[in-house]
Amino acid sequence: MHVIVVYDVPADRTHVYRKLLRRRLEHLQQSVFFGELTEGQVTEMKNEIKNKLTPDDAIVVFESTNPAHFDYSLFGSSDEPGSRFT
Amino acid sequence: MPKPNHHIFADGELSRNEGTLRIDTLDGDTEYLPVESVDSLYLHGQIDFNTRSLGLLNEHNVPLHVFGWKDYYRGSYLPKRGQVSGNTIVEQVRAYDNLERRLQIGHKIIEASIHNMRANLRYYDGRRGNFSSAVNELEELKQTVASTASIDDLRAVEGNARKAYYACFDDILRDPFTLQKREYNPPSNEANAAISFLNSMVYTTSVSAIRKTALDPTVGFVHEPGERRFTLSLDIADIFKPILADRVLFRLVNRQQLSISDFEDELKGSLLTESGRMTVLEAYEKTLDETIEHPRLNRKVSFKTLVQTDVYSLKKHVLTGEPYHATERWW
Repeated sequence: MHVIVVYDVPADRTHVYRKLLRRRLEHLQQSVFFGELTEGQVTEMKNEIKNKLTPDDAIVVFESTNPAHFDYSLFGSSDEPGSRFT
Repeated sequence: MPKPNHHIFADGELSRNEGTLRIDTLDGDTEYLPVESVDSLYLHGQIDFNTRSLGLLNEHNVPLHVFGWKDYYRGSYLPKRGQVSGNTIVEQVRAYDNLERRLQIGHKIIEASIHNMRANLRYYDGRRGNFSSAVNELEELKQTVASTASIDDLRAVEGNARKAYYACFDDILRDPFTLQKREYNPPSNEANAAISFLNSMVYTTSVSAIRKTALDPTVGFVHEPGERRFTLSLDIADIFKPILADRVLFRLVNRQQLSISDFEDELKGSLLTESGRMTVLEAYEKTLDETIEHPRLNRKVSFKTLVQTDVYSLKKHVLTGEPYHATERWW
C-alpha cells in the first residue's frame, strides 16, 4: 500500500524517526516520507514508532490500499516520488 | 505488488548509513535508498562500495547486479542463501542426471519458449506484416518438441524456432531499425544491441527470482551446466524473453520512443547510449509491474511475480513431481 509518514518532533529527536523511516521509505522532504510497503512492513513500522514514542512527538501515518485513489502533482524542484533511477 | 528494483546510473559511492543504503554521487547529491523496500539493485555507473554496504545488502537479501563498460552485464553479488535445502539440490541434480526427467523439464521450457515467441508473432501478424508461415512453423516445431529424445535435438529445435522468430523482427520493427541476423559479442546493429541489453535484464530478473528459492542456479536443464554461468537462469530467461524483452523492444521502436540516435557505433559494434538505456529500462520496469489475472492463483499477478511463480513451480516439480507449469502466455 502507499504510505506517507510525516513527523513533528523536537529537533534532538528527529534522527530517531528518520533512521527507522529511511530504511523502508523514500525521504521526500525534511520530515516527509513516502513509499509503497506491504501490510507487514507497515505494522512493523508502526510498532517501531510506538516503541520510540515520547510525549512531545507527533507522527502521522497516511495509508492507501487503492493505488487508483492515489495521485500527486509536482511543483518547484521536487523529485519524482518513487523513482527507481538514481 | 513485489518490491521494485532500483537502478543507479550516477557515478559515486555506495555506503551504509543509519541502517540503510546511502549513495553519494559525484555531482554532490546524497540519496538514501530504503533497503527494506528494494528487490534488486542494479549498478550501471562507476560506483565504489565497501564491505559494510555489501553486508547490509546481504542482511536484507538484496542481490546486486553489476553492469560494466557500456552496460555489458558483468556479474552479480548475491546475498547469502536465505533458502537452503539440501533436499532440493539433491533432487535438482537427480532430475538433471536422469535423462527422462531432464527431457521432461526441458520439453516444458522449450514448449513455453516457442509458445511465447508464437504469441508475439500472432499479435503482430496482420499488423506489421504477414507472419502466418512463421506462426505455423513455430506451431509445428512446438509439436516436435515432445518427440525429441536428446537434449541436443531439443536445443536444435529451439535454435530453429529462434531463427524463424528472429527472421520476422525486420518486419515488426519500424524502419530504420533492421534485423537481418541476430548477432552479439558485440551486437552488430541497433536492434541487436537493444535485444542484447534487454536479454541481459531478463537474465538478471531470473537470477534474482532463483535466489529466492533453494534451487541451484548453476544446474540448468536445457543449457549444459558449465563453468562460471548460471545455466538455470538461462533456461528461465528463455521462457520470458519474448514476454519481457522482445515486446518491450517492439513497443519502444514502433512508438518511436527509441530512435537510431539512442545508439552509438563504436569499434564495429553498436551500443545504447545512456539516455537510450534509461528509456529501455523505464519501459522494462513498467512491464515488470504490469499485472494479469492468473488462472491457477485466482488473483492478479505482475510479470515479475510470474517469473517467481515459474521458478517456484519448477522447484515444486523437482521436489514432489507435481507438474511443472512453464509460463505460456495465456492472456
